[in-house]
Amino acid sequence: MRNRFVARPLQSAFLAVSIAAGVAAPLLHSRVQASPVYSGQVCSENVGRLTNEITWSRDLDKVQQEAASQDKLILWVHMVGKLDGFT
Amino acid sequence: MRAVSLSQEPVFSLLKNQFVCGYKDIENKGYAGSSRKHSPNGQAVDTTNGAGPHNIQMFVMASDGTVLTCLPGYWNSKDLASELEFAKTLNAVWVDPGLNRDEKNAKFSEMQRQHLSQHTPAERKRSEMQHFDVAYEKKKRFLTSDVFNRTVINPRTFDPVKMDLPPHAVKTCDVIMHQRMASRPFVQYKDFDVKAYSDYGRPMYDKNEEELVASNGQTTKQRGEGKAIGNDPAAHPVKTQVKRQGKSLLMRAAQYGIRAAIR
Repeated sequence: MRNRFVARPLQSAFLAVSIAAGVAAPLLHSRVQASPVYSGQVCSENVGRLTNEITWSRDLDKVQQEAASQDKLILWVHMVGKLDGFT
Repeated sequence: MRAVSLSQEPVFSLLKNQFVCGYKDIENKGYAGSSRKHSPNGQAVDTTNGAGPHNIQMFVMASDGTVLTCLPGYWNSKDLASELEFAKTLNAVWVDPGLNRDEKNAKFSEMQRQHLSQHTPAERKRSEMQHFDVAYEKKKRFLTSDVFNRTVINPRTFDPVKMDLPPHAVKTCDVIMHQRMASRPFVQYKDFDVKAYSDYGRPMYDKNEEELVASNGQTTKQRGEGKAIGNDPAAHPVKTQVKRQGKSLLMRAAQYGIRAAIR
């Protein structure tokens, strides 16, 4: 009987924390999924990887010739600005 | 786009191994939109599919320059990868020697429509049009725009002043994209009407990325950021003015110069 009284506050605290975590986690998760913000450092690394490890030509004729010789498709991106500069 | 979906898996490996890549700066093209300037080491956000269609268009083409698909605006990495894979199946139709051109065209359009049924509810959610683009379409061309699903708008109950639309009255950008592509079967890149194809929503697009707090709690603002880029008077006032008013502006400037010199 005495043990049961001792255990109850612990159980209540555990229950409260579990409920709070259960409610907060999906909210936090959905917020992150909705619009994650990538820091400048992460963006810099990503752009560096994209432009260093993949060759981006600005000559469509050349791109077509390469695609034909390598039997590949073409990704040709129109963008306001430069891939490795301001956009 | 470059700092988020193009540089992330699964797109990055697909591009690196299976595509030949290139790009074109469209800053001075008439169909280009505008935004605030962003440096490669400025902050970025993962936005919705199809956001900023005037500023980015991603063409997937066969090696002979035939457009298999074109994704306007930003696209989530996973969804973009799915569209790149889809383009491969369209290319298989394009190079199929057993089909004539009419059969290829019909198959192309059918496949574009069919692909929509493979989009998950999550992708649909990621493709919801930005609220400011919806507002622009409502205000500027509600009667003619193809972004509205008119089958769910009841003309008897619809109030054109309030413009309150029922649920699903605005198509998601993935639907707009596939429907517009379906009517452009195997068009050559040089003949592709980029302006009409990528035209929905506001020409100006910006998410104020550098003012948001990044996951590491820091914000980045580089020199030059915040100024406009693209077809915006703030980006290049003289050029834009000339575009709008034609050569008469230059003529007036020249006349003024001559007059000033005579005095």
